Amino acid sequence: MDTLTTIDVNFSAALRHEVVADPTSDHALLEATRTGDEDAFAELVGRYRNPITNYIYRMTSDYDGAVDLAQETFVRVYRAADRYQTTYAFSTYIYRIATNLAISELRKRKRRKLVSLTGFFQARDGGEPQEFNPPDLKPLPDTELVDAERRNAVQRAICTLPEKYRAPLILRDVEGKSYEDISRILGTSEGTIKSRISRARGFLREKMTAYL
Amino acid sequence: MRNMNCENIRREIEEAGSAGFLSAAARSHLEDCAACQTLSRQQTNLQAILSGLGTVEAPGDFDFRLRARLAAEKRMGAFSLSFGNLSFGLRSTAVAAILLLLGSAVLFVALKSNTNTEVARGDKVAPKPITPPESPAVNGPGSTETGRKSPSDEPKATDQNQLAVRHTPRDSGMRRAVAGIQRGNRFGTRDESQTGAQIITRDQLAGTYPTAAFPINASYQSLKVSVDDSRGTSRTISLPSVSFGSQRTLSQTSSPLVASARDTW
Repeated sequence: MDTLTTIDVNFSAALRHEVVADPTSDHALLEATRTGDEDAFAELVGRYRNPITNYIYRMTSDYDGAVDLAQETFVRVYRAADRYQTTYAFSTYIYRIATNLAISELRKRKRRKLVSLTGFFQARDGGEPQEFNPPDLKPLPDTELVDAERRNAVQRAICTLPEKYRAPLILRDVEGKSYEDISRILGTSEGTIKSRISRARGFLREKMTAYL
Repeated sequence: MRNMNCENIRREIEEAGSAGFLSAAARSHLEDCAACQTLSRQQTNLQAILSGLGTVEAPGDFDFRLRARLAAEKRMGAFSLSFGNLSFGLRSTAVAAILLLLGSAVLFVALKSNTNTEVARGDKVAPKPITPPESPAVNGPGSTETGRKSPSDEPKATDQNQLAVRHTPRDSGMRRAVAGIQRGNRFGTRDESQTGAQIITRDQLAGTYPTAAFPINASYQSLKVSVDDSRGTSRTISLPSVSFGSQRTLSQTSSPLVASARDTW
């Protein structure tokens, strides 16, 4: 049974990054936000609104919910601006908040048992039954339509993954984060992250055989 | 041996994500092994699909909605926002301080209530026997007697004793009443009398007050007793007047007795 763990947002002081003196850096903008500079916060929002929205959307497969959670992420950053420590990169910090919110949303969905009646796909490692729509194997005339259908299929397949595999896979293969960043965001060792990503790819490969 | 090698190569393929990051040994193995080659091809395609998912963009009014949300939070919960920004330790300290204040207030009120109850119970003033007050109605206008049954039996009333007799029972009774109310006994009764009322028989009255006379034209106005608990709360009780039937009968007849007894009874 997979268990989700909410990641502690307080970073340890093990690896300290020096605050870049560049006034346009994320740290400098957050420092300005702390002093009441609304434009600095708007600049931060402009930099991260699309990546955060995209990440949460890939995690939850719900666009409206992802937008709400992305806004909640920025609200929490704004509230905690006074307590922010420049230990790690700001991107790591905000992705960690977004991950916690997405995991909380997935837990709520589990409690509400929001599963479709179209079908179930039992997880290999004994996890919760996951919804999975099998691909349509009929040939499609248009290549663009084929690509669209492939993207939809892979998004649905991602949603069938257990959450502990989903987050590192999205961060690595969709967001393009390094293993080091992923391990900081998720608060897990790099070895565990690599193992989980490998297993997630194996799951996806099995489910996406018709498209590969 | 070959299976062992394939297992290692597959692990490397899954970790690498695409064939471009494979080692030279793995690449040479792929040329000979069709199964591993298929796996590598699928892995590369999957990687391409995942990276080609694109980025879902935030809506155009994202900034506006975020600003509105932040402004609404500032307006609605300035206190809760600042309280929420406190660290866990400070929040715990604040909650503990509030609880301590509430507990102190409750304790203070309880102690004060107990003190009042003890004062009401342990009244140091000894209850004095109530002596019948000297009523001017008993003494006639021409009477020289004091109206006592036996002057030798009565204590010599000093001003202090008179004060004690006049005030102590009332004060202690009032304290008992207040204590009763504070204990929640709103409808509790209290006994004001310390001794029984003096009984005067007809013969004693004739012997003691030979010339006692009551003015027949005494006021019929009802007696009013005002009670004050010295806290600003006062209450006035009106006692109904008592009339004697013979009084009215005598005043309406024209017998010589009436004439001689006019204005006196």
